[in-house]
Amino acid sequence: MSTFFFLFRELLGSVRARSALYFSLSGLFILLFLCSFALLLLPASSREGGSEGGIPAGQVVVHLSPRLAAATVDALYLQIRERPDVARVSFRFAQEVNPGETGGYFFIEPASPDAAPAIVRVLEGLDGVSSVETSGGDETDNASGIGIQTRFGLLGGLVVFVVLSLLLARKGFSVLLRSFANEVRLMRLSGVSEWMIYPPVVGLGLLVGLLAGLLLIVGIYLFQYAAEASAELGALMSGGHALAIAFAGLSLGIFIGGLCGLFGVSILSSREFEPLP
Amino acid sequence: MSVMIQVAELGYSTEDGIKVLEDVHLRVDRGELVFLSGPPSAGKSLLLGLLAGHIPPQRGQILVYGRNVARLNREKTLKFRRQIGFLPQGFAPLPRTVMENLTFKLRALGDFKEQGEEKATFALETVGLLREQTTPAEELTSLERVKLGLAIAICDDPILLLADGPFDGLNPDDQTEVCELLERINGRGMTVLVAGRDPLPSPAQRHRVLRMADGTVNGG
Repeated sequence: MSTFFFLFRELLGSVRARSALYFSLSGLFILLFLCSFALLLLPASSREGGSEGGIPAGQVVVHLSPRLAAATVDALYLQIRERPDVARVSFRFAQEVNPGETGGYFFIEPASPDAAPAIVRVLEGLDGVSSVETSGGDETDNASGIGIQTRFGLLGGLVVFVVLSLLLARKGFSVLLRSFANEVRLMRLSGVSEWMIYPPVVGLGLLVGLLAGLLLIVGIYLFQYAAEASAELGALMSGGHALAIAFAGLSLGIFIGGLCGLFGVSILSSREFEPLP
Repeated sequence: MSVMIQVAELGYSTEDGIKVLEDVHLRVDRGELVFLSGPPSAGKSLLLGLLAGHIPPQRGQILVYGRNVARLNREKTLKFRRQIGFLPQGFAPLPRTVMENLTFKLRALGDFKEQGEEKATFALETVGLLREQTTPAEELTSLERVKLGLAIAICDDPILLLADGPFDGLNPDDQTEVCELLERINGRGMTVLVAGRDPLPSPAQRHRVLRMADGTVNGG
């Protein structure tokens, strides 16, 4: 173990400005990868813990008073269904949407998005209607965090960021190991096992990934801190969810760092590092 | 006297099919100092690389200290290399101090700091570089660099020292000094095989000299 730490320290000591720049950029792209990964996981929590209880986009939601008689609810239902600007209407008990709540809900799908404001205006004036809400497309996107297009963008970003981080790490290792080539040649000439030469290189990659993972945790902590002060952000991430994302992000960061390290190890097999020319 | 190196029917060809070594026979006894001389590209470095286990042999047999080099597995090859001190041709020291050049090798081989420094001090004393231990290796003269290379080669107390071209680039006086240093190392009981270009320095003539030309060894 002491040999590993000795060689790791020597390898770190050989890091110069140019290789440090490549490793920093690689770490930055790992961090961007992890941020994209974390953003992709955010919406799941908002659907589970969101205040709107699973209201589909573009619908008008009518909360009915619990004091309304069943016959009145039926009459209201028929009245709404007959409207030409309503495409579909359905009734659900409030307990189905939010346990502990009383009354009922009408979920109204307007014939066109433009019709929703008129429906809202009419329904707000009816007796027995507690509140009327609309869940427009944009609002839904904000509430659930990320739209489908953004998700595809993030997925593409994941691939781009991981490829860039690996390429930059390889370049960084290439520069670093060239300045460490004499040491590698001497070790091989002296009979030092490859299993002693490789681990510090992989270790350096792991360190880059670990630092990126730790930065992600700091970012999540700050986000969580901001979320506690904001109702909208608070709906996005619960404490347990933040912890799970942080742990998964850290593990993923270390894994990608390890891959970067293996890229570095692959450089050591070139002729340049052979003990004899 | 027991045999340290025994080579029989050794042959080696390049990927293009050019024969570099052909039917080489060689014997070096334990505790002996032997010089291997010849023109450039005669195959001296290749022969030393084969003896040290850095290049896998193609044909023939190489026995070093009773071990068949061709049959060593990866792990045993590493152990075998540790028992051989090797000064490569055109040795370039690490960009560190003289002492750190030695301790790097020893610590990479698993020695603790104090243990490594003790061995390094002894090796530097042997080659006469103890006073320069804190000097950066880049500031050393050509002669001192060769001495440093030899110190690195012998610092882990090997059973055999293979020195490839230790006289290259040195003036005649420095060549003589290196030759005398090799005699001193040999005087401590270490078997030494030195490869050098013609002509070898005069002190070498006091020992067995093998001539190498056209891929064969005469006098082996």
